[in-house]
Amino acid sequence: MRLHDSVLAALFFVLAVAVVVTARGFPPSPGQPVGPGLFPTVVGVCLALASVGLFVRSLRVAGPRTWFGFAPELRRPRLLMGFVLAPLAVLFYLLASERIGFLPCSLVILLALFTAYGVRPRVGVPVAVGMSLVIYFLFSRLLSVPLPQGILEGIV
Amino acid sequence: MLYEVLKLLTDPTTLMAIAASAVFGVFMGAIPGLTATMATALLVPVTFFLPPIPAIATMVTATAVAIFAGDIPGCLLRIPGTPASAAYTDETYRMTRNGQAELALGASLMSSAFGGLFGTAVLVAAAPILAEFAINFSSVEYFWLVLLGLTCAAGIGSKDPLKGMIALMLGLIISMVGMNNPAGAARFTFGQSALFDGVALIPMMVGMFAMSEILRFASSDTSVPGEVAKPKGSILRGVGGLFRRYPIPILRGSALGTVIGALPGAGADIAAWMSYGIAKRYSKEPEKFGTGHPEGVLEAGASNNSALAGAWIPALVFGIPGDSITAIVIGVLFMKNLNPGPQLFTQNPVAIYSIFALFVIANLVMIPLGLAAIKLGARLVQVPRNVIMPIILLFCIVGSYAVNNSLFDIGVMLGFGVFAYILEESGFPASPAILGVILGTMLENYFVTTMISYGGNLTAFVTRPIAAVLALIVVALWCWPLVMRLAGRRALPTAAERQEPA
Repeated sequence: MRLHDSVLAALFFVLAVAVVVTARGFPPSPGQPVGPGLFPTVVGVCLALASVGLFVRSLRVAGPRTWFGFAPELRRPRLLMGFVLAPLAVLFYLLASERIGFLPCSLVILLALFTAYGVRPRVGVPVAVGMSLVIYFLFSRLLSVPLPQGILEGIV
Repeated sequence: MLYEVLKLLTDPTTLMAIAASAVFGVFMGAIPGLTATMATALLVPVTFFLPPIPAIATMVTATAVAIFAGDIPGCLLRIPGTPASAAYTDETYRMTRNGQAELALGASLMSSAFGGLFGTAVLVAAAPILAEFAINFSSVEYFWLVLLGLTCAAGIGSKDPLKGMIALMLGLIISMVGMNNPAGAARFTFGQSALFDGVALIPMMVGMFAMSEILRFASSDTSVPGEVAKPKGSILRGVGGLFRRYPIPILRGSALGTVIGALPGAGADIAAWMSYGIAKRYSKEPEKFGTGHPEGVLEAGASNNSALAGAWIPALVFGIPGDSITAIVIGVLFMKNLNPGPQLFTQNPVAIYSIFALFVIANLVMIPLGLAAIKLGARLVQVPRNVIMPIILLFCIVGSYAVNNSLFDIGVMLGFGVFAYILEESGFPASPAILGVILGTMLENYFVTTMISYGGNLTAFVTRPIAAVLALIVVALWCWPLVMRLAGRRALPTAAERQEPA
């Protein structure tokens, strides 16, 4: 996924202004020559200047402009699905892990991604089961990270 | 002290950590799309549960081995295993085409080990001297050092300094989130208590260096060609001859790599590109470059491994990371109560000398392990990435969670993964952003400390001699592009020629 320099420059400029405006509102620290607002203001101004520079430069470049582009491969629906599925898998874990637990979550994620990336089930299913168990025991038992147990509470 | 160092190093935990991370490093390096930085980021959750020295051992060993192992798929498949191998991938692949796969990999391996040991020697020699010099530094000198580091990061670390500078500013803004500032004010927290302590560093790096790679993998067609050359016969035959024939390029590559590594923001990959260019420029037979000529491979192969050790010099002495790997390492050092800085050299020399020794061990372990990896090479580079990447994704999730046992951190990981992916696809480099995050807090703290101790007098920043020199260097670096541009406008015809060696 690619954004044109001018679009990004405009976004960064807005961010810079927001930073400077927010920094104006920070209370000065009593007894200190500089308050918490100074550093954000300086950095915000620098970012604003650099964004303007990038914006001007990007409009000078001749030729057709793509404001918002994808890698050509992503036109293929299968690849696009695989690409979207990766962040979705993390979101799924965020929403579901507390309720159903690590092991079911990890199984669902691995199987879904394997399917999307074209791994044959003959390979994918055993690897998904095996790796889920390995990661669970490595982190939960060996490194004592409290991974959520969810519906399997009391079984594993 | 020698006894204590030996005891630490021969501890079974340390030995196991070295062995396991060496194997891990081979995988991360040899499988295209997995990088040495990613290896370091994924190791962090594991290092949580290790004592300090084994924890550092995993990172030193894994990165050293991974940077070499990145040469294997470059040579056999023409796909660099890590960005640090990209500079000479075409050359080694051409050697493979000419039936010299063994020689190409042997040259890569031995020059990597040599470069790594050279960089280590410089680290051992230079770091304690610098530390002794730096022990009298006050917040003023540190302020300029940090500013110098940030300048290098934006300027050298990227092809496009303007985009490098924007990435740096974004990193600095991220560093301001939370209450870790001299005034203790809550800045940019959006009322989220999870952000009071700032953006969690490790989940952020896992996102920027691992999650973003997964997205890049998912958005590209990655079918690996079915046919891979298999190295057979002796790997090391003829390598000795090459070393005798090209001693200058190997030494030059090692020296330049160490310096580039030590400069903040530029790491192994930039070192390799520069060294390959220099090798070609000063070669007696530059016309042979690109046809399967080992000279550039030797120089750049030595360079990227020496850069790894070089990056530790500013990291250990000043707490300023030399590349994105040491940016992660510094976080681990703080966690292990080995706060980097000149005091570490006097207060905990055993730890310092153990780290030095670990570098030597890692670069020696690399040779037998590298030989085995080359033998396995064909099979190793064909490990299906569509199976590996989902597993890495799971590691990203669990690894980010493990740091604070917080789901919020998984969200941080995801957010920064997508952010880094979009930025890099649009030509913004990630390493200035990371350095900005790490150094932003330090920059502000040193500035405010100086202002307070000198009663708000700005001239305090240039009255101490060393500070004044550092300030001059920083100002000169900022003015340099401007001067170059003015000079270039006057002499337009030569500008094109000057661009060529880069």
